[in-house]
Amino acid sequence: MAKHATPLLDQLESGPWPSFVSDIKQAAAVRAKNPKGLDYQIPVDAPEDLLGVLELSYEDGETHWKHGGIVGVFGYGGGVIGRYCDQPEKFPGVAHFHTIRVNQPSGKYYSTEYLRQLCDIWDLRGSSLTNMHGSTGDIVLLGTQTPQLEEIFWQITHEMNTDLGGSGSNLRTPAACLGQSRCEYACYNTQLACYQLTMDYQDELHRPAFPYKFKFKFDGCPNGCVAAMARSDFAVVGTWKDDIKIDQSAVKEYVAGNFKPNAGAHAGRDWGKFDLQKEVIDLCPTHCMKWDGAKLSINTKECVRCMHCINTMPRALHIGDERGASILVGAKAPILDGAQMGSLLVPFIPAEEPFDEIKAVIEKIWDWWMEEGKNRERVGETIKRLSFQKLLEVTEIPAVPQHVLAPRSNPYIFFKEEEVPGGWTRDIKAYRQRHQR
Amino acid sequence: MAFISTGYNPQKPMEGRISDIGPRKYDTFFPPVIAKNFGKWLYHEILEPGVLVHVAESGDKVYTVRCGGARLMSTVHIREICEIADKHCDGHVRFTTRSNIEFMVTSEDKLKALKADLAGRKFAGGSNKFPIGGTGAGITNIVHTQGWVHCHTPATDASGPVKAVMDAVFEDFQSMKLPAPLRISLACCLNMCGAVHVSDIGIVGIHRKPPMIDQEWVDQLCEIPLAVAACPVGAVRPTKEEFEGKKINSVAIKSERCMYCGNCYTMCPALPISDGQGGDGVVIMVGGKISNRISKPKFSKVVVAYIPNEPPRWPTLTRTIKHIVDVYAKNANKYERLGDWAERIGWEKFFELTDLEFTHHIIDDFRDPAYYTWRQTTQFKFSDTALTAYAGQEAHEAQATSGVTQADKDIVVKFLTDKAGSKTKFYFNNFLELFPDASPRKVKAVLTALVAEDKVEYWSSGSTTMYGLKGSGKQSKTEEGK
Repeated sequence: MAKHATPLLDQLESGPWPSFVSDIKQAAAVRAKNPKGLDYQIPVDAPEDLLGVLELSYEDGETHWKHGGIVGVFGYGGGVIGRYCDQPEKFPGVAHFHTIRVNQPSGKYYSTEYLRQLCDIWDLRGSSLTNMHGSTGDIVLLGTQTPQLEEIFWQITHEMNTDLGGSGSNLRTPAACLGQSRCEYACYNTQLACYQLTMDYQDELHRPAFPYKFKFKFDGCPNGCVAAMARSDFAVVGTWKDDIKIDQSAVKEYVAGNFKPNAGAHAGRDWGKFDLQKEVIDLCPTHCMKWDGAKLSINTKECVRCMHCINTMPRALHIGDERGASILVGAKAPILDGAQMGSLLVPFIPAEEPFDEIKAVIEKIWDWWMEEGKNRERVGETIKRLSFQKLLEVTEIPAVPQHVLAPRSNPYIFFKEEEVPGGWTRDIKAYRQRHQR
Repeated sequence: MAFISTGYNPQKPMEGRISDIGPRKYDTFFPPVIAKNFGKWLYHEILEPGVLVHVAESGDKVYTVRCGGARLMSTVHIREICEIADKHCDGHVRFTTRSNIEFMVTSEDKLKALKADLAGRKFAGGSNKFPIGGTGAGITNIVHTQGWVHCHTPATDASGPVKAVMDAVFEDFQSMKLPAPLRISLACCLNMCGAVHVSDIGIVGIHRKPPMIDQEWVDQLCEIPLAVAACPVGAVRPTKEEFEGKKINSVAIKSERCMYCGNCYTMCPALPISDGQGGDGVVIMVGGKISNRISKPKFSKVVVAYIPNEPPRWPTLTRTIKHIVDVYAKNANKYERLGDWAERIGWEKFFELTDLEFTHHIIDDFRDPAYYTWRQTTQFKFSDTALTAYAGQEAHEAQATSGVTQADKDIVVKFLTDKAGSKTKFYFNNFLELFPDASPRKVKAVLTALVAEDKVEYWSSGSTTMYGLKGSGKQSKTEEGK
């Protein structure tokens, strides 16, 4: 018998999509039964009380969680988010219900041994509920109490060789696409870049000293599966400089209908016979491709590497060999001055271990932003406030036409004094000798 | 319950402490076929919705089965994932950025067994535990935030609307018949913990009422400078109030400036913002994309300014999203993402085809970027709505401009004479204040009459024109050889 009646939530158990309500209920049942005989360190009925408080929110259309800002583990400023219920008497099992962010492995591959270790810790010391994963990428352990925090931290560090993720005004847990582990489009080892920089910047991740959050994300190609250039302050997106590699015989197989176009992505509808001219050549954003009926050619100098032709014919076209990455800076969600996409800062940079070239750019940006950024100002907003030119100046990158979609349409140019012969100090008497008042 | 200690000693927190070790290195978790062929993949193919094969240079193949999952997941469910991975995948599994679960095997036989096993697993309530899909030109899992399950500022729930929407579009999760991939995301408030602003369809929770001020607690719970600084639009200022006869430190909120973000509530629990009494609800944004394929990445745009929260299954929200998906599927060209389609046909056509109501809320009015979303061209497409902007309304009523009296002129001359000591030139709108009940064109008639009588003269910089008493001001003495 359930502790709380949940007639509204029960309506989320039907339908084909996996029901989180059913899942929480099964967790509640297992905890109540306690087949392993655990001495639960937080209330056994935490999942039931979570359903209870959620049902209350479904009744009144308002959240019942309060924010807490002090809990954490010794010496770290992030990784734990305090959370308290505003109806603790009704739902004592979730009265204190703090979140722990655990740093996920790049690309989110796991062994079952590792996941079970995590489950064992979380069944004993937490609510048995998680997010796999949070939006930023962490494993999110949902709901425990303050005395358990150090114990959980001890166990994940000592027994799982794993650390907490980021929260607050620090480097947030970096994330990468699965990269070269299972994708032919990856232009660099995104997982290694993510891992290496996470390790190199542990101090920035655990001990907040930034004006606001700072996110790295690593996409292996311009398809952008982790949305780096849409939601990370510092996006590293794989690209290449040389020719797209063409297997002409495979192109012919696509034309002949022997290979599935788009790797089969459009197979659910009859779109007619694959038409290379219409579906690839004509849709190329720079019209840099030609098909003469026997040979496909690409004018590399005109190519902007949008990935469309490669996505459409993955067996015939392959990314080039001179690989690296583009760096885009300043993406963020709309709060406050509107959403920002990352702006291109470095068109091409080597992306090889130990990633020193990329780190040099990051560290110059940090040195500037930590000094000039206002509290709660993302670096993209600092750039908007102080200008893209300032970003170029602090990163010591010369301005290039690739930095803009178009030149400015106003002539309100802020020249520096040293750029103007004679500077800004002028002689009014000499002027008056040339001009009467 | 007896406290079980790991060995951590609160008196000596640094004793035996391990810190700054970071995550486990990713490659320690690779299945052997992934480790062996790392960086050597040749191509991939989607064999059927939710099932991929990747082929390596070595000739090795890895088959991936992608399953949808609720990101809110219990250890019971994770253990079941482990059981499946042990049985079919030698103890390996991965998750995707969009909270899907991926099981990988190395032969078609294993693939068949895996799929059959997954298909039979259901929750007690009847829903699938591991629905296979989410590939290619279809809809994959919804990236979302915490909602009422665990957040202090949400304007809607996350897990519930996601479940309801995924149920509604489930057919497109398990098929690939859309013109292009369609990505849905949900954020439960304006702060957008997920990448809702660049999704084909974004669902965003919004509050619509400024925070309340709990005067009884504000001075006890809040560090007022922090609450003031937290407001991104400068709507919160410190003030002194009287509460039950006592002077207290408090804040005042300029309601018309508030954008209902809840940042002040994060800093100050005495400023609650949630409102289930007609305030909170959701916005639908469409047309964003992250990929650089064909067109550039772009932001999602608001097409429905408000839908009320309708727990437990949000019927208006799910119906509207399903409708948008259907209209897009029917009308867009192959390869066209939702935003590419809307831009090609024009947003006026998008509203005509979807029959969504276009209201004033949908026109951007937030700071400078708003201007760039208005239409600076005569190019537009006609639809029924175009004609309602001028639908034969009565012509403007002729406003009387005649009948300038001596009293009117005296008011202006007296004003100019009184001010002459400090200021001699005035903009037209300075005179409006002299005639609070008259129309601007009437006031102009008064000034025109005075100019005609040579009592008032124009002063012009060439770009700006002002009025002054004839012959007044410093410059007039240096001009015209006076």
